[in-house]
Amino acid sequence: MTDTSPLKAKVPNGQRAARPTLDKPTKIEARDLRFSYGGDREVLKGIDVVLRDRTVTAFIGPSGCGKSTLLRIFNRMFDLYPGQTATGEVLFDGRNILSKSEDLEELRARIGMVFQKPTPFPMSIYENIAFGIRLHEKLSKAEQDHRVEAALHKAALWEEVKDKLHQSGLSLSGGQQQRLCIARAIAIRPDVLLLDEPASALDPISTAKIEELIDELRADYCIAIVTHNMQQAVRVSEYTAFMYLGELIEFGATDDIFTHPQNPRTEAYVTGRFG
Amino acid sequence: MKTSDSSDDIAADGPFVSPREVVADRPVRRRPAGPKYGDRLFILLSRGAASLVVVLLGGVLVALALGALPAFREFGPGFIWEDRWSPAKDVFGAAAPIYGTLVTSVIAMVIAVPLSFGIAIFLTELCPASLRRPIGIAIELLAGIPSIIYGLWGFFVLAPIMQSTIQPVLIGTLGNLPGIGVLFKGAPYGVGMLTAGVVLAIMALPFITAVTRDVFATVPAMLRESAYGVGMTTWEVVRYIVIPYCRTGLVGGIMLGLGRALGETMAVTFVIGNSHRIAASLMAPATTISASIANEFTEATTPLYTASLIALGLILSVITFLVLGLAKWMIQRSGVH
Amino acid sequence: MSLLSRRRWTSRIVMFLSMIATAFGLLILAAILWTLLSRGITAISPELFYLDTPPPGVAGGLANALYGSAVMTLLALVIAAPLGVMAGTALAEFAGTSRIADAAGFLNDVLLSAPSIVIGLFVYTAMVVPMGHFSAWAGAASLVIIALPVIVRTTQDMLQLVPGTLREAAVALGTPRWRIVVSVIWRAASNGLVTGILLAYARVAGETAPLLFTALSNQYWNSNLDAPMASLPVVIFQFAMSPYDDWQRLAWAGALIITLTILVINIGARALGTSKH
Repeated sequence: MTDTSPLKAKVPNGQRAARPTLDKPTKIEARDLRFSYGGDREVLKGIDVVLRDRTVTAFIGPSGCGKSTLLRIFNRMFDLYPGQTATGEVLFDGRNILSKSEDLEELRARIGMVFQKPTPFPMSIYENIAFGIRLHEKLSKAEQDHRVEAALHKAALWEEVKDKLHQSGLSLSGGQQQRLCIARAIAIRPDVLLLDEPASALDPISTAKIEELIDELRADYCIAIVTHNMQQAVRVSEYTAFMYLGELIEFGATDDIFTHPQNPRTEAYVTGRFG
Repeated sequence: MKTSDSSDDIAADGPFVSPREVVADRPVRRRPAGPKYGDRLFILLSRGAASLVVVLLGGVLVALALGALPAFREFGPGFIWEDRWSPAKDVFGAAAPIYGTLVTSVIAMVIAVPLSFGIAIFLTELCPASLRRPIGIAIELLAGIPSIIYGLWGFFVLAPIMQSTIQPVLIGTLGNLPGIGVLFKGAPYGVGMLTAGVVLAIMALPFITAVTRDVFATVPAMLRESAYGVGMTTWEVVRYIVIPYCRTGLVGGIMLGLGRALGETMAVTFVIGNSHRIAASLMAPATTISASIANEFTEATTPLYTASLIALGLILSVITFLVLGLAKWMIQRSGVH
Repeated sequence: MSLLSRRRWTSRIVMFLSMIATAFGLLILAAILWTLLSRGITAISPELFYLDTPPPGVAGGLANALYGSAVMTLLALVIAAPLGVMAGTALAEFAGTSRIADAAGFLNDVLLSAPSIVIGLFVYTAMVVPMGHFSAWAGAASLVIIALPVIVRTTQDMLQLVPGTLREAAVALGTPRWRIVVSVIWRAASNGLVTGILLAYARVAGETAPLLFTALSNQYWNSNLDAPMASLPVVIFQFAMSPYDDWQRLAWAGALIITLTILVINIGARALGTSKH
């Protein structure tokens, strides 16, 4: 192989993934995680992975490889659907969240999620954010206003919406809606943010804004992002996990995954030969 | 843009609050975990309300069965096929109302089914897109008109037309045919089974049309296009592709209309003529189960009379529930949600 | 004639017949509305709204019947709307397995199309007989049973139109299930829920058969729910079948009022129901 990193050339301005700093503590750890939608077929076949605090971990792989499914286990979203089962362990700050006694509402307050398509609630911009805050905390009106504003600042949306906080969340553009959803997620002060292809439905400019935002959020959150876009993984993540057919094929520093993949399938995928 | 570990780098996004504030004192945790009483109560209430629907349906059958008991005890199962209805002698049999109910409903279907299919074909195959919605809504509005209005219209407008024009023509033509001629013999009364059947046809029309249109829409566009692709005419596509593809759903739609016609009360009560006699002619006055109940229930003087009317109601419920259940099942099976 | 042209002509004839069928359907609607307008409009007068139903030959109106209809239909909706929305929510959101939801939805649809006279008989045996007399309560109860399945069905349908992603987004915030339903799902489907309630109103407003032997009727103004009460459809039925001209005129006036009300509500409900999708 003459060119070991064909992807580098495609990354504009020579942007490089941040080098992982290995001393950050583990936030979430999956051990021998298996999942099925009901029936015998496993769509996750024993995943072991570590998500570190204040770090962005990207999950890449062809459609149907199980990366979104994996993400939806971390906040027990699959519990919505009878029959879906996960076995193994997912340790969140050392506690196994797959246990039956887990308080799901509490768990989901601490592990926020943003979806592929923007999902503003049918209420005002302000209410979209205050809704989540009120679920978990009793605040005075002033404190609540403050928190809403802080969340909108954090999501880099404040300047665009400060004059129309009481308009419907649905009146925003797609990119703004997605940032509203991110603001909604961080307003309740989670520890972890799960981003399930957060930019795949957006135009390039909105995508760039979301990526900028992720870059800022990494300082405070443990972030897991599923993406189809390999350049995006390179731009935003410190670690990358490559998944294929329900297995974690390779996991490591993003730079290494994209420049010196150890596994031939990883190499084939990141060089664009399949997927 | 730097992405180093220091969070101070990202202080640039707002003059009012420091972004650190958003995540400051994160461990402060919320309400105590515990059993979710709110959820349990809410789910219990909503499931209770849903059970009520089932209980009501069962309650209708049980209450009618209990109310009908005296009649069946007195007359035995023969109540269903005996043709006698004499309040004076306190003797009752359901044959005449059952006959009237079935005959009027069959007439209604014979008229309504081709009309409904025609309208559905027009709406799906011919109608310009801009007219599809208004015409569709207009036809559906027919379903919104209360049945008493159909009764009024049938009695004051349709029955005179039937008596002066349509029935004499039928008697003069079809009445002379051997065999089916008996169905069209006799005097033109205006009111009677035929008129009731016509009114029921108009009332069933929007229901059958709506289902037919919906099941037509389940035909994959590709199938339709490939049929046109081999050079079929519009009618041939409908006849050889669309209708066979939707057969179950279409039968379901007809059954739905039939269920409506069987149970319809007020419209029929106006135009049926109220006679407990089984006559061969479709133009003769007759009665139906629902019309008998509506007309006689408050005048029923003896307990047996009341019980016999309730027994009629029970028979009607059983018939319509079976027909409707079958209809619903067939429509669901055909892929209309 | 060649085979091709015969096939073409067959198709044209059938398509022409389908146009005739459509024209016929529209014509009937027009004819009914025309009859109501031409006979009803001359009978509309201010007295209708403040005089009670008269004996034959005396001037009168429909005030007691209009009042009775309003009271019984509104009472029925006030009871049926929360029950129906809750039940529809159970079917759409908390059904446990889809088989239970399908079964309950199926039974609901059977009740939805049950003959209304049978509902009247049921309420008669279950309520009028034990109470010993006809009453507006019994009339309202029979209307509840008619309105309920309409609301259940539309609620279930409308909630199922709410995208699953919205539900998941609310779950992802750690929202309790009841809050998800009340604050997010119902709100997203609010137009649809109102549509269902309006359609239920349109359905019960014209119901006659179930009132015949539950609320009976009443020639006089009555606001006691424990006594027989007049209603517009029942009065129309009585008056139209009578031999008296002035009663028949009142019947046509009532028929016009009731039909226009119902058609307006039907169209309004439709407009509301489709405005969001």
